[in-house]
Amino acid sequence: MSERTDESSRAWVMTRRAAVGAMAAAGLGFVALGPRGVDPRARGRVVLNYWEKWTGQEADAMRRVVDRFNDEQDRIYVKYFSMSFIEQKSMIAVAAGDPPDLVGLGSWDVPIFAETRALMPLEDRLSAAGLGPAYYAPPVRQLARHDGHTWGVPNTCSTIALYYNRAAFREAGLDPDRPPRTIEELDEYAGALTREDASGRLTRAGFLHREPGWWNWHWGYSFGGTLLREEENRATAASAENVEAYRWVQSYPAKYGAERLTRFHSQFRDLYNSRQQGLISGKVAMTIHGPFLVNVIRAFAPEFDYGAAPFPVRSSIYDPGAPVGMLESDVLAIPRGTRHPEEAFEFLRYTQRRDVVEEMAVAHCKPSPLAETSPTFAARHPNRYIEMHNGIVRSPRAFLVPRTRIWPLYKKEFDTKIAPMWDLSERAEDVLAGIERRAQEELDRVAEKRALRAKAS
Amino acid sequence: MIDRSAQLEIRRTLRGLLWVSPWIVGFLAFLALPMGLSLYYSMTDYSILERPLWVGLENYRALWDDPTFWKVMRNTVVYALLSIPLGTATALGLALLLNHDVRGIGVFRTAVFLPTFVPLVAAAMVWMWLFNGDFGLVNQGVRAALRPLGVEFRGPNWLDEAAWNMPALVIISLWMIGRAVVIYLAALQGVPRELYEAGSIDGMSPARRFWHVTAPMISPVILFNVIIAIIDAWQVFAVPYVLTRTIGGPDKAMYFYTHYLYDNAFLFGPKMGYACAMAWIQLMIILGLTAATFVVSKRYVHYAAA
Repeated sequence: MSERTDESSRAWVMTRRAAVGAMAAAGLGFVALGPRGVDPRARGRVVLNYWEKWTGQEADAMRRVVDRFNDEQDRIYVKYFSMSFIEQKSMIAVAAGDPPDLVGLGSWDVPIFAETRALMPLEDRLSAAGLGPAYYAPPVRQLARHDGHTWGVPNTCSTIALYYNRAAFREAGLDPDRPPRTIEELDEYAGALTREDASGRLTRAGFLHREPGWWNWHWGYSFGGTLLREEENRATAASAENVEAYRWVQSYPAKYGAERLTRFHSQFRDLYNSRQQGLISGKVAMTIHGPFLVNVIRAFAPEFDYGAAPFPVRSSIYDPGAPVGMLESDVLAIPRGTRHPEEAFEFLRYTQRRDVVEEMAVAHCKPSPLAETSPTFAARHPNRYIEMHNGIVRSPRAFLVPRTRIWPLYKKEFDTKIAPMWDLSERAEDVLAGIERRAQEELDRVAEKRALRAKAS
Repeated sequence: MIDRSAQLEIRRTLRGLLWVSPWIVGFLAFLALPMGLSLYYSMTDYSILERPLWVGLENYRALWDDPTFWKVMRNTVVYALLSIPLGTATALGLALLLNHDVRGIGVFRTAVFLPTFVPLVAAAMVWMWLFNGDFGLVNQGVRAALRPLGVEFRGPNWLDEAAWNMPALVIISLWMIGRAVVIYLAALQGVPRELYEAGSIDGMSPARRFWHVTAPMISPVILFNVIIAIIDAWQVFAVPYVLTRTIGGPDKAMYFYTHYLYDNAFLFGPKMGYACAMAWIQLMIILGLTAATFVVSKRYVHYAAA
């Protein structure tokens, strides 16, 4: 009996020793091979935390800028963090009083952050640093402005346009150097470019409104419509121009068959960053997209012969000197409550140097947000149609995402209600009236609460 | 004057409280306080970034008039009504099958339990392709199975047609019932064998044996699984969120209560006060359903020890 007890306690002792040994080995391993806490370059410097939404090669481009900034001076060290849902995380960090020193938002995020004063207004600092409004292309100046202040700087910007398959144009007997300019021409070209097999299955769509499906809300702008009259705080989703635009959207499923188009689209939907992307794979001949699509083309199909042009508009508003197109940007901002605002601004100013802005624009395959570009910018740019995008950036008819904090809700209404319009189960005017009503209720609610807050303070 | 034994009792109580204090502090700081605050916020207009503005019951009144609230409520109720009975019956059926001592039973048990290890986001991504209307394996599989019968099956556009969204999601929920199956299996193995032997001697058919021996003996476990399923159904979020690429499906057909709550809390404004009101309504619904299930269960659940 006692022997067994000794045996079992010896076994237990061995187990304990083994456990302690394993933990010690793990600890030593962690110390020796684990993550380094502090980059030696950061010692003795002010360390800035910079949160940014980019990943992949877009993040790599900004990391190179950050590394160069860290190497070129010895007072400030910027730590770059890539993250998803950055606007939500930043909002919570600001509310908790522990924000990053710099944050990369989208220009559509500016209204909510501005109205809640979650960012530092920067216009005085920017003007003193020579980064006043004149430094940027005119429509770009509005992107980081709201409530009479400038809340950040646009470090890259983008416009959307019509991208098309030049080989498909040639095959259909269309001139690849003469893309459609008006909606009427777009319909004509789409008809000529659409292909189906002997069984009636689509093999190529001339144009598909739901590919890539990122801008379901914007079709009205090609017909002269808008979604918001800012000065009146009035939603205008159901305006005559928008109704006409969405009737036009519905004309495609009506002509080609809603179920057929949807099933066909499911073959390549959500395959943006791949060889199976709709345009590259030849499934669609024309698509609406940003200039960054060319980075995907370069990565997966460098031989693909693409063309690009401003997105067509209704013939009555066509003006070759003033193309219509959506303009948006990434906005670098300094959150309220940051511990190092001066140092954060120094880095922010560095990112606005023309060479840095253009380096980022080239890496992200986007146009430049600046009023003036260097003579070699277009030649260095991987997108051979970048001057066309630059033209939209500078166009008086470039349009922005509606500047309201209810935008996520407004956009979601379009994203969820595009389906009943597309399958023709609901009339465009009814859907748009519903969206307008919902958006207006929310606009009124926000305005009422702002007034109450102002009164209370 | 406190006598010695009372002093000892107080000391023991304090020592006990000291030992459980991590839980007490955790409960107060991370559950009771946030719950209290959320009740307060539910009566305010609160955007996280601004001071809460007292609005009384306005958020609750606004929910009553919010068509999206009723839409997500309806979607969630339909999902619960479909997924809970189907999930319970399927899990129990599988557990009964897996309770047989046949060759390779370990492999079958592992296969049923394995999906519970798959992260929800990864599972949703895979199902997105399985349910692809054009070349998804679900449609292709049914098509291949029906072809020899001379039936040309096209298959629905599961994720792009509002009418097919809910069945798709219920099928996915059935794929993830491994945990319930394991719990049922454990319960089945705890049913005394002599009861089955007695039933056999009395000439009970397998069906009668199930209804009169198995079901009563594992009824507390069925109750437990049903309550967990009710809670899970009301909190369904990750899979439809990923399947619909955060949108909520065509015409909000896969927009569920928790997803709308999340959107209000972090996206729409944000409207944290409104989201808190939704959270309290959700809590009340789940508590109500759980209480109702307990009341109903009194008639059907048999506790062997009682």
